[in-house]
Amino acid sequence: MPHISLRNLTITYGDLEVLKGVTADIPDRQVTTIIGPSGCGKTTLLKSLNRLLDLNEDARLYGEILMDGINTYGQNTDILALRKTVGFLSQRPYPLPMSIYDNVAFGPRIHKLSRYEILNQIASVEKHGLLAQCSVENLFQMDMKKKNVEMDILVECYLRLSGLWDEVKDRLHGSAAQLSVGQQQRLALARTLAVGPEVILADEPTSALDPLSSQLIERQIKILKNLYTIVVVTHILRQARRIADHVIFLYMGELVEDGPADQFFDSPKDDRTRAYIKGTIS
Amino acid sequence: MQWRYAKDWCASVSIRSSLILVNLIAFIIVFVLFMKAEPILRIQSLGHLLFSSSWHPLKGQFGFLSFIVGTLEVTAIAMVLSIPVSLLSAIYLSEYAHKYFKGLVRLMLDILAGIPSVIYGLCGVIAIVPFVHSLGGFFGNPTTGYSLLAGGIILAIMVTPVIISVSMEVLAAIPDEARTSSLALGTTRWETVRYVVLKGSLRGIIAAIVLGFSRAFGETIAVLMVVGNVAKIPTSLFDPAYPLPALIANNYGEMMSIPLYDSALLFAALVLLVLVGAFGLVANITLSRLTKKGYYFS
Ligand SMILES: Nc1ncnc2c1ncn2[C@@H]1O[C@H](COP(=O)(O)OP(=O)(O)O)[C@@H](O)[C@H]1O
Ligand SMILES: [Mg+2]
Repeated sequence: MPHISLRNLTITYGDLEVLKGVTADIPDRQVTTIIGPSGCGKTTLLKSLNRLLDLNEDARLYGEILMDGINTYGQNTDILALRKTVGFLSQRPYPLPMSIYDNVAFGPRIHKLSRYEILNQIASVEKHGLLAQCSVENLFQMDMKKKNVEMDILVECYLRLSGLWDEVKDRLHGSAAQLSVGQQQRLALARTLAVGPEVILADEPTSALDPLSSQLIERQIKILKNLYTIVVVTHILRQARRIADHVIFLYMGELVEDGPADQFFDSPKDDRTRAYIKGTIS
Repeated sequence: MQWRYAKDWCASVSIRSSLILVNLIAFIIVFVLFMKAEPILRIQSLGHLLFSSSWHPLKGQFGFLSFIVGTLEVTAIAMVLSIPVSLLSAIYLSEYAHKYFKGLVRLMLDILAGIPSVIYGLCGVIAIVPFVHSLGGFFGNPTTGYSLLAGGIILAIMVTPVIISVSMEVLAAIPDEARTSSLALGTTRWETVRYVVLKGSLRGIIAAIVLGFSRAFGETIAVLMVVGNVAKIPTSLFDPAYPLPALIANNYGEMMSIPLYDSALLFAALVLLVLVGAFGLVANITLSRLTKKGYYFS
């Protein structure tokens, strides 16, 4: 598990300083939520963690983001490997233009994971007992001589892990674009998990969803934190209370306060935090 | 309340009648062409008209094969030259280029697309014909330069800006989330373009190509100026050719004293129309085949 630390992180878009010297640690295998009003730099911070920020031509970054002590913005970073390790769920899900099955298999195919790697990856998920009603023995009873059977197993495994399996098991080869937005978001989750990341970033993953679908996503996040380090951006305070183990509060690009969720919500230290929790600033 | 229903009714009627009008015009064009071409069809069999290359109007021999072959070959050469360049350019501009550069190129493409075809023709005569002439010499194929290849090149130059512009719009319609979602899995830029962006916009890209080449089939002046206009089936790229639009434009109204000539030219127009129609149809069938094979378009 990589340990993520931000050291004096400053990010600018042209003249606009979006993040101002943020220093924080992100605890392993917990849900960290980044909260703060719209435009305070939450998305920018999140995207810098797996260098999706590189896509933005105007963005400049100063300071360091350390993973296991190594600066990810250093010279020798393998960006593809970094993004494989640090997955990202966007605000609006986008099903890749292919079938549901291929959406999940896309990443493993691109990375040319071998049968051995795939089965290993699934075994490590199974170890945590997260695949309800689907033990690996069950899966492995499939005909192992069949071509690409490991991919079938992988697709089922991650669709179960993202809580989508029961809804799509009969139409795996149908178009992913026909799913509801809520289902698409869970498919995006399965797709992200399928490449075997260690960290999952999610940018307001429920903001485009109805309450029921949001609940499903929140439930999956709580299950998955046993296995992954999860960072969720949200501007919904109640959601943060429900899922957070650790909170980072940004206000106008500054880190105002961070700490364990109980402490953050029950005894905030900063006036701005108190005001934000009470709802007097937003 | 009644008034709003009345307005709604008016809107429906005018929307529908515009559509009917447009379709009606297409129908009338086909009908008139057919009526006018009918005399020659009565005298010569369709097979003979389409598959004979003997073109001797004075002797009453109207074989269109060399014109049909000329049209298809000029268009095919233009496609081969233009499609790879257009698509790669569109991909570069949409996926790789800096936005200022993109704006600049967009402006230039608009200008290029707006240049009258006669000017392209002139440039063809001045630059491309001599170029093909020396190219022919180089390959041991003496040629005047007025040839199939010159026609194909000029046509490729003309459709390229159109295909680039339309393809750029199509690629721009793919939301950024698509790219982010794919890149976030650790794919390279090219893998994302290849498997996500292009795949998601395949339908639109094919539409862009069809649009470009429906124009190419019928493009007349520029091609006519460089293609040589000899009614013989070309045997090499350096031979002259005579596409259907050039035949019609060169002769309609000129040699009308020859019996059946007028009917023959209108038959040529009909053939051209059918070719363009068939091209569009093939593109559509290809698309539905792809959809059946498991390509999904969003
Ligand atoms: N591509 C960009 N170019 C310039 N400014 C941007 C860009 N993206 C975001 N910003 C600005 O950066 C600030 C922070 O944006 P963002 O990180 O998206 O905030 P949040 O996710 O908290 O709403 C906002 O003021 C926004 O206008
Ligand atoms: Mg945001």
